[in-house]
This record gives sequence, structure tokens and C-alpha cells, in this order.
Amino acid sequence: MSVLHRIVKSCCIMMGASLLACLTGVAHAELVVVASVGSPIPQLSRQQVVNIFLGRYRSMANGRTIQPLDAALNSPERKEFYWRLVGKNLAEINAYWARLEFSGKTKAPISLTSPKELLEELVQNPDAIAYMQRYDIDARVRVVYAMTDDRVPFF
Amino acid sequence: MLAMLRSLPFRMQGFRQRSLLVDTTTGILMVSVMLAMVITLGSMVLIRHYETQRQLDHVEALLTTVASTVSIACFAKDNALAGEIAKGLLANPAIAVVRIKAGRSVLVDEAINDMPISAQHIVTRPVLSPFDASKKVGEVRLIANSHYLKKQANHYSNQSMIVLLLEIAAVSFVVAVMILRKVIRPIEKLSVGTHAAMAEPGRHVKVPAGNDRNEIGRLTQDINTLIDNMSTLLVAEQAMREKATKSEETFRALAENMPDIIVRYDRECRRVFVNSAYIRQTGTPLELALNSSVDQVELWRPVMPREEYKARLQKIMETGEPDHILLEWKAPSGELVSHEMYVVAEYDAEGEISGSLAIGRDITQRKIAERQLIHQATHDALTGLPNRALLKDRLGHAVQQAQRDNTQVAVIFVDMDNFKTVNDTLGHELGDQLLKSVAARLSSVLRSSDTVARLGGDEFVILLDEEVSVPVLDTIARKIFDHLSRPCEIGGHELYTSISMGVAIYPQDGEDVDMLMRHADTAMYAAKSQGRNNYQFFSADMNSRVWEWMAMSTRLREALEQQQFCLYYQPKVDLRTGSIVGLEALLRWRHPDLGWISPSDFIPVAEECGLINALGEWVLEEACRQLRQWQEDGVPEVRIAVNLSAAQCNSDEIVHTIRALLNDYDVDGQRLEVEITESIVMHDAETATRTFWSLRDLGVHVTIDDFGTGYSSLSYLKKFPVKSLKIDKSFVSDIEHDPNDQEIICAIIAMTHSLGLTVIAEGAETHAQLDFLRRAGCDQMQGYVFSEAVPADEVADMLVSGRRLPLEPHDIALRLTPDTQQPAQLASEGYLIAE
Repeated sequence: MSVLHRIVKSCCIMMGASLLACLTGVAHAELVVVASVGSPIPQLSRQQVVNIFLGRYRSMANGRTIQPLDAALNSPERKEFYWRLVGKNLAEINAYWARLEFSGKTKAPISLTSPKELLEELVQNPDAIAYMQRYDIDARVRVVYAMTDDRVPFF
Repeated sequence: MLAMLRSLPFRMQGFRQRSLLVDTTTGILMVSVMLAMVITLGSMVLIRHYETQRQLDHVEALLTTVASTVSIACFAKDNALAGEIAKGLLANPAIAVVRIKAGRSVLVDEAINDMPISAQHIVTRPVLSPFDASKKVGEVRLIANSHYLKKQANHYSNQSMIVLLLEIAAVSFVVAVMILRKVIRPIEKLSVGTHAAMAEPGRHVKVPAGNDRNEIGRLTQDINTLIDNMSTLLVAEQAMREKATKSEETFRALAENMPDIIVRYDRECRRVFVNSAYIRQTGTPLELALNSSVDQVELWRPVMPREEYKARLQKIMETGEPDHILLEWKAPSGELVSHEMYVVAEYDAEGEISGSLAIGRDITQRKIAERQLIHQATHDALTGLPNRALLKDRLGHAVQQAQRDNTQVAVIFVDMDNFKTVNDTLGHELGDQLLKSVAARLSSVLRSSDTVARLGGDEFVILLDEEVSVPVLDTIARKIFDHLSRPCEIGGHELYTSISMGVAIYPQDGEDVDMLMRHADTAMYAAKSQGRNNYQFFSADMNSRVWEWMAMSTRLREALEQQQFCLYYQPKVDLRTGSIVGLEALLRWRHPDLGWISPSDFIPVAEECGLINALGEWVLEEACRQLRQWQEDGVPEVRIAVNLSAAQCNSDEIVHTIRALLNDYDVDGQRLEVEITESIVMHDAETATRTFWSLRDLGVHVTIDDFGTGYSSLSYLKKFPVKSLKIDKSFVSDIEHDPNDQEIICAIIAMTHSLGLTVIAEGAETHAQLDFLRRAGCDQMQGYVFSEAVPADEVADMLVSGRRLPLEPHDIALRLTPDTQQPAQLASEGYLIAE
């Protein structure tokens, strides 16, 4: 995308975000990417989050593979997450995984139904990461990436 | 190349007659084939190019379709996916090699087997992250299957080529058909129609249907107009050709039938054409005449030198001006043939002289007539001698020559003295013969170089131009006289010719022709006045005398016209009675300027000039008139005696004249008397006798005049009805002195009386003579002693008054004669009557 386009988009998103903030009144609704506290997964950059969740790079330095976990299908978190991350809607993400899964090399993140399940899995699997609302996280996980400075979702 | 192809139909025409149809079709076909080839080749190339491009675009489009998947594959570095994608791509026959790179690592690099890879068509596209369009996550490289592409392109282009060809063919076909139908067919019809019309002159071409208004129709009309024009032209040309042939034939007929000769010469004066008249008149056959030059000797013998004729022909050819040439030559028969040739120059088609044309009219007859005329004009008809004109011409030349050579020329005028007399006495025929004889004699005396000419009448002129000198002329003159003095026998008569000659010599007597002739003439007149029968050399003083002589003749003529003459009358008296018994009419001439001119002066001239007859007639008429007049006036009757000349006596004319005059004036013949000299009577006795008897029948008295002076034959006196004799005055005048004359007179008187005639004595001037005559017994007397000749009025007075000779009666013994009037009275008056 052109620079101008991006600038305009950013402004729109910012305006929209502030508007939504004003409208919803929710101050701290924010998606975060968490891993168990005992996981060796470091703090991630956005790009790394993208690479992991979208199957590009999942290997760590220590040789272990990170396993991303998806929120429930069609859940708002999922929508927001991917939107904020890559600006794609779920259909597109599904289509992406459809293709990738076709070849079988890379698998899509396993999708769990609720944040509770996600938390449970995270504790179980130190290589897994998931995303959820900040208010959904507990002490067993830690945030590896926060999505605050990203795009404002525009539904 | 196009041009060459275009010219092909025309070149093919040379081989064989082709039709427009075929040519057009062929042309169209060839053009369309060529076009098709060019176009299809071009389009093939284009199509291939575009097809290839299309395929490549297609390939690129393919890429686009797999772009998202490829980006996922590259993003996810999924070989399998990439492989699947590559497989999918390679399924497209257009793609030969697929290489997908993610970053540095090659995910997949697949190629179709057995394909030689040409790196011609490579499509490379960067793969972008599906989640971040700004990030490139890989690269896709496709190499197109050139072979396949080519195959496709070819296929496609072949297809389209076929289609194109079909299209072109269809279009060409349609075009051809259209042209055929719309253009070629009508043209063909027109061509066929025109061709057919050619066969029949004047036939029109039908307009191909439906083409009335367009160019074909107009062309047809024009063709028809041309046909009409051509028909007219052909007819005209035919007529002209016929005319030319006709005129050629006419010319031939003309040339061959023409009596004129036609000769055509070329530039070297050789004959190239001769007509039949030429052949006839020159006697030269055609083969010889043609192509022979006028120079050649054998063929003709012209009078003019051949070179001259040739030169004249050449001059005509040079100047271009026509000329007339008189050409004469000897015909085969030997006679001279004359032709007047009219020669013109002939020109060829470029206007250059090509020869000459000569047309000759036969003028032989004309020339002969001309020559005759010339001869007639220059020669005297009777004698054949040169005439005045020719003489003057020759004299002129002689004078010129003498001037140059410093010699002399002599002109002799010869005049016959008595010619008129002879002519009148013997008649014109004998007179002519005399002239011819004289002419011949003169010619015979002279040399061949001398000229004898007849000037006219009885005048001849001799021209001498060689060895002229006075002694020579003397000799010649003498010779002439000798020759001519011999008598010539003409018509049974012996005639003596007497001539008068006058000689003038150039240069002393004159320097030009006229003067010489005039002076010779003057000398001749001088000779005449010197008594004739001699010759005189001109001298300066002759002029006046001769001038007089010649002037006299002119005056005489005038006198006759202007009535300057009158008659005087001398009374004849009877010696016994003394009364006037008759009158002799004597001619008197009173000239207005010169006064009275003596008859002795003018009578000889009158005789010379031939006026004597006119004078005689005038006298007769005047006498008759006078008689009538006196009758009217009551003058006592008296007889008038008129002298007749020899000429008058010797023709019967005189009788007619006198009869006519007596009738006209209603005068009795008895009142008229004629006196004739005796010598006249002697010549032509027969005619004279006849004349006198005729006169006697008219009542006219005849008196012999000058009796005693001529050689008279007394027997003639018996034959002629003479009334009286007149004794010549020469006898009377010497009565007193010469006893001989006395005797003669007595003898004459006796003889006359014995013949029963009256005797009258002429010229008594004295009383003594008168006395003697009386005593001698003479009957009558005429003389001054009584009266001289006096005018009519005076004599009328005498007659009226009855004047008479005074007589002494006792001296006179009267002898009675039948004429004596009133003899009884005489006796009573005391006259002695002799027995």
C-alpha cells in the first residue's frame, strides 16, 4: 500500500478507535498474546506474532516450535485479533489456512472454544501461545505481545 | 515489382488476342493474390506477435490467480504448497518452467520434461506477504513454453491467415464479379457491337442495356457518331478517289488525244513522258524518246541549237518562271514543223523543282501564214519585188553599213513615163504584164547584191550598195536604158517603154533614208521635166523645180475639189457667113493664190498624175451644164466642142459618160462635139471605131484635131464617123511665110471636102491668114483674129448679140456647103457664090 494510503488509513483507524472508545466507554479492552509463565517463549514482536500465528516461522532459538492457539471460531476475539494483526477478516484467514493445510506442511492454530480452555492448554503446553482479552488472562500466563498500538478495528 | 505485374496483362497481349474479361480477371486475381500474400505475411507476423503477447498475458494472469496462494506459500515457506502451485501452473501448456523462491531459498523449481528451455519468455513477479503488501516474501519466475507459444501462435496465425485469404478471395471474387458485370460485360458488348458494326458501314452500335446514362452509354453514342463521321468520310474519300481516278483518266485521255504535244523533262532535260501527239509529229518512237536527253543528236533536227533549247529549259527550271519557246524542226516528211512550246517548271511534294512540262501547239500553218504575210508585207504582189517597207529597211541597213565602212550607197528612182497611157489604152491586165516585164528586166540588169523594189504604181527604186561610184552608176543607168529601150511584146502589142530615172548618193545627197529617197525622187521628177526618157543625178537646185511639179499635182487635186477650173470658150466662125457656128471649150484654171495657171503647165502634170480623166469628165459635164444653162437663158443654140484624151477615147466609158451627161442635163447630142487628136485614133482602132459610132448614134459630132501632125491612115477616116477635121495651128501660123504650109492647107481642105467633111483652121491670128483661108475655101476658122477664148458670159453675149466676123462680101467667094445657112440671103447680100 502506498504511504499516503497508509497514512489515511491510520488516521481513520485512530479516529475510529477514539470514537469507539468514546462510544463503548471501555478503556482497557485490549487483546493480548499470552504464553504460560513458565514458557521459554520470549517477548514477541508483532512480526513474530504474525509469523507464528500464520505459520511462517514457528521455531524458536532453542529449537522448540511454538504452537499458536486460536480462539473459538467466529469469536470476536478471533476476529479482532486477526484484524488487528494483519487486517484480514476471518474468511480470509480461513482461506489462508485452507490453502496451507492442503499441502500439509503447516497446520493452522488449534482452536479452542473459550478462554478458559485456552488458559488450561497454555498451562499444559509451554510451547503454546494464545490470544485473549486482557481481562480474561490470569496469573498463570504472561503477555508476550500486546496489541494496543495497532490498528483500530473497523468492522 | 508491382509495376511489372501490372504490365503483365499487356505483355501477354502480345502473345495472343486476349479479352478484357480474362485480363481483368487475371489482373484482379493476381493483384489480390499478391495482396493476400503480403497481407497475410504481415498479419502472420503481427498475429504471432500478438498471440505470443496474449499468451504471456495469460500467463501473467495465471500468476495473478495464484498470487495469493503463492504469497501464502512463500510467506509460510511451504514447499508443498508451492509445489502444488507449480504443478498447477505447469499444467498450463504455456508454462515451461516455474520457480518459486521464498527469500533466498528456492521452494520449487519445476520444469516440463523434455523441453529445451529457451530463456525467451520469462515472467518474474515478486511475491508479497499476504499480510503486508509492502513486504516482499518471495519471487515467482515463470518461463513460458516458447515452443508451445509458437505452436499456438502459428496455429492461430494459420487460422487467421486462412480466414484472411478466404476473405480476400471472397472480396476479390465479388469485386471481380461486380466489375465483370458492371464494366467488363458492357465493354465487351460494346466491343462486339462495334466490331460487328465495322462490317456493315453506317450501322450503329446498340447501347448495352442499362448503360444509357453512364460513360458506356456516352461512349456508345460517341462511337456511333464516329461511325457516322467515318461513313461520311469514307463516302467522301471514295468520291475523291473516284474523282482522282476519273481525272487521271481524263488527263490520260486528254494527253493522248490532244493534238498538242506534251513532253515532260526531268532535271537533266531528259524526256520522261511524251504523249502520242509527240510521237506522231516528231516521228520518234516511244522507246527512243523516253529517257533520252534533248542533247542527243540522232532523234531530232531542231532549227534552234540544241544547247540553246536545253539552256532555256534549265533557265525555266532555275527561275521557276514559265516561258514560251518557238521550236521548229524537220518532220520525217522533210517539211518544217513549227510548235509554240509553253514550258513550266514542275515541283515535287516538297516544293522542290523536279523537272519541266512542255506543251506544244502546232503552229506550222500559222507560221507559214505568218511568213507569207511577212512576204506579202514586204514584197509587191504583182512583181514579187520588195516593197517600200522592205526597201526602206534595206536602205537603212545599207546606210548604216556604209557609215561604218565609209562607202557609198546609191538610190535610183525609176518611173515609167508612159505607163498610164498604156494602162488606159490597153487595159489593166496588159499594164500589169508590162510592169512585170519591166520589173524582170530591171532585175536582170542588176547585180545580186543590188535591190530592185517596186514603190507602187509605175515607180521602181533601185538600191545599190556595193562599188558605188558615179562612173559605175553611169554605166548601170546606160545599161538599164539599153535594156528597157527594146520593145517588149505584151498581149500581141509591141510596147516601147520610156523611163525617167533620178539618182541620189549617200552620203553626199543625203545622210538618212528619207532624205536619200526624197532626193532621188526629186531627181527623177527633174528627169521627167527635162523631157523624160533620161536620167538625172540629184543636184541641189533641182529641188525648187521638182517641188513645183509635185506641188502642182496637189494643187490640181484641190482645184478639182474646189472648182477652181472653168471653161473658156473660143468661138468657131463660119468663114463665109462669119457667124459663130460652134465653140471650143478650153480648160482654164484660176488658182486663188497663184492666179491663172497655164494649161501647158498643168496638163502634163495632170497626165502624169492620172488626173487627166477626171479633168476630162469635168470638162464634159461643165459643157453639158453650160448648154442646158444657155438653153434656159435663151441663148441661141450653139455646139460646144470638147477635147478628148486618148484614154477617154479608147474605152467605152466615154460613151456611157456622155450619154449619162446628156440625159442628166437634158441636152441634145447634136449640141456636143468631141475633138480628138489623130494619133489617138491610130492606136486601138477597134475600140475607137466602136466609141465613135456610139457617139455618132448619140448625135455627137466627132472632129479630128491637130490634123496633119500625126501618122494618120486615111482609110481610118473613112471608117470613123468623123464630121470635121481641124487643121493644126502650126500650119495656119506660117501661111504668110511658108508656101509649103499653104499647099498643105489647100490639100487638106481639098481632101476634107472630097470626103464630105468640114474643115476648120485653128489659130488664125491675122487678117492675111484669114484672107488666105477664105480664098482657100476653108469652111470654118477659130482664132484670135475673131476672138480668143473667153468666159461663158462673154461668149453668150456674142451669141446673143449675133456678133460675127466682119466680112467683105466682094472679097469672098462663098462655096455652099450643107452647113451654110440661108444661102439665098447670102447671095442677096452680095457674096459671090462659088461653083
